[in-house]
Amino acid sequence: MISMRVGYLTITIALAIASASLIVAGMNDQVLMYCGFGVAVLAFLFLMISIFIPKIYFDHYRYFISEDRVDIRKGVIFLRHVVVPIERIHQVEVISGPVNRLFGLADVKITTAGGVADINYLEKDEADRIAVELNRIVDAIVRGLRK
Amino acid sequence: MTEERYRNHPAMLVKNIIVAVAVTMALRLAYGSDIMFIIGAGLLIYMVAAWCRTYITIYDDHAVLERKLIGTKTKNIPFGKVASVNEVQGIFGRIFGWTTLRININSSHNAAKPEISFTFGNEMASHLASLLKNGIHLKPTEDECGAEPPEIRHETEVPVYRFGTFDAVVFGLFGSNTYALIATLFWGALSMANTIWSDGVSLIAILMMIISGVVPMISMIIRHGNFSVYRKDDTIRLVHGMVTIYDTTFDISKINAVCIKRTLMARLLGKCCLQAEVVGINAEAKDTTPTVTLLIPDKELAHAMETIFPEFITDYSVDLQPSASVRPTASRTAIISGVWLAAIGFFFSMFVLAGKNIDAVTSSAFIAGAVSVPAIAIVHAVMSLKVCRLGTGERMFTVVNGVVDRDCLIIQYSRTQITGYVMSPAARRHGLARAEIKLLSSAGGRTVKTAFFPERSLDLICSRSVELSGGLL
Repeated sequence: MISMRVGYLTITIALAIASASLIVAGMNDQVLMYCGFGVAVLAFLFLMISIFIPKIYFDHYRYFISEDRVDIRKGVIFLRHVVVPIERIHQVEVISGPVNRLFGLADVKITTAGGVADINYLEKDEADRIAVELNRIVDAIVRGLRK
Repeated sequence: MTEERYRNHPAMLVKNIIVAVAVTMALRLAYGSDIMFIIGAGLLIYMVAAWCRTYITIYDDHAVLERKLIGTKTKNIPFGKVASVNEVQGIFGRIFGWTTLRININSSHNAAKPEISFTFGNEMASHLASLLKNGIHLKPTEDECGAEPPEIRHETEVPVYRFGTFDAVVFGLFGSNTYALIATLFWGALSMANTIWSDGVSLIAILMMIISGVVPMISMIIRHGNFSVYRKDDTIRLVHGMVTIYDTTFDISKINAVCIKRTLMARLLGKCCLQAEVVGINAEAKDTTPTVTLLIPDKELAHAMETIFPEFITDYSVDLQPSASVRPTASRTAIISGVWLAAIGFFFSMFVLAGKNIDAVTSSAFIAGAVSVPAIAIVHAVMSLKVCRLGTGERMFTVVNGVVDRDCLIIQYSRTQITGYVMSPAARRHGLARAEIKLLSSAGGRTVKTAFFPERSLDLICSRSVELSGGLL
């Protein structure tokens, strides 16, 4: 949750700086000044997002891994339910960006021949455990098929 | 293990040399420097070295493509993974006797570009293609030494469907995307209006009409001329082309989805065409129409499905959206219209603040712009409630989409990659959702989205896809 907040707050700060610059530059130009106010509104929106959205996101976020599927449910306004059959998994990656690394978090990225699914904002150990488990299941399936 | 090693046909070396010389001369003319000759010489040496050091080795059950230049690149293609085999013969190939073999594997990564593209003499290309298609060994095994090699039969096949030049013209005019046709007519009307009401001819409008409409149409007609469809056991073969001949073969098991496509013009003519999502077929055309038949009358559709795709004949009902889907559809339309009006309002206020003159023409343009998108969104929403359908069976499910150009997609559960659905706040209240199904397509991956249907029906698709997904794709 904190990692997500930090991400949105970074965007908020960037927009606030851009807005201030436009307003200052637009002292003699109304168009620039109004654009600056527009960007300020955007910055305010992102501030609200960073306060309220992470809690809602994590309240809705669920994932479930079984022997035959990976089931992910997530979303804030639009709730998304994704099902990945284990047999379709080609590759499992653990990815940790700079903000996630600060908080010891990582994402698990599951690649199939037709697309990608993610399990986000996991603790690093948990992400590694999931990746190992998925790779074990996929490997067992491949060996079974080869026999 | 038997193996045969080949280089690219010498014609490819000659073609590359001609290209290198032409590029050098063009650069020399453009920049007037003799250094271009040194660059050209370097390019020539690279092309000759690449030709000399690129090999393909054909084994019993796989092929290996090797290129050893500065680095070594090796690509291993198991025959079991081959999705489609294309034999392409251009005009020079027909005159001088060579064919390019393009082999695609069943993967979304790099689906538009074949894994192997190699040129052979006609006989060798035909021999290798038939081996790939039939899975016959190249040479006798040790046990069979002394025995006659197995005979590769080239039966005279009768096509299940054959289309002539007129059919290709009709397909080129009415079988392509309606929006492209509208764009062509728009530019055509604009150029005519310019000619009639202004002093000169609008070259830009004519150019846009040619680039966006005329050239793609002519290209489509030439590409789909002399179209023949063959079905033998589990193999489908498509042969087409007026200038370059395309001979594509794929197994029925590699079909990810079958589409019955009806563009607006085709619907008015009472016709439809069949398409198949198979990795590699038609990907070179850079369009999304992997065509299996050209336009056929609707009353012949049942026969065409029985002849070409009997595995995809459905026995379940395909239903319209439930009545509760009106509210989420209306919400979505309202949001799109609201956002558009806000954007128009913002630009209008910027226009006024910038001190621009608001005359009758400008205000009319703003009003027209403001009204057009909401009007189109409302019409689209009303039509989608009457058009969009979903049906689920034991092995397959059907999705019907498209207000203007209608697609009826028949997908086997076992061919899906990732399934799921999205619920908006309005849809959630009524237990509805929109499915998102990812599968492999001719040019990579494709996401099929449905309209609003009950969550339990979409859960069924997800569950069945997991149950029937046995075996790695």
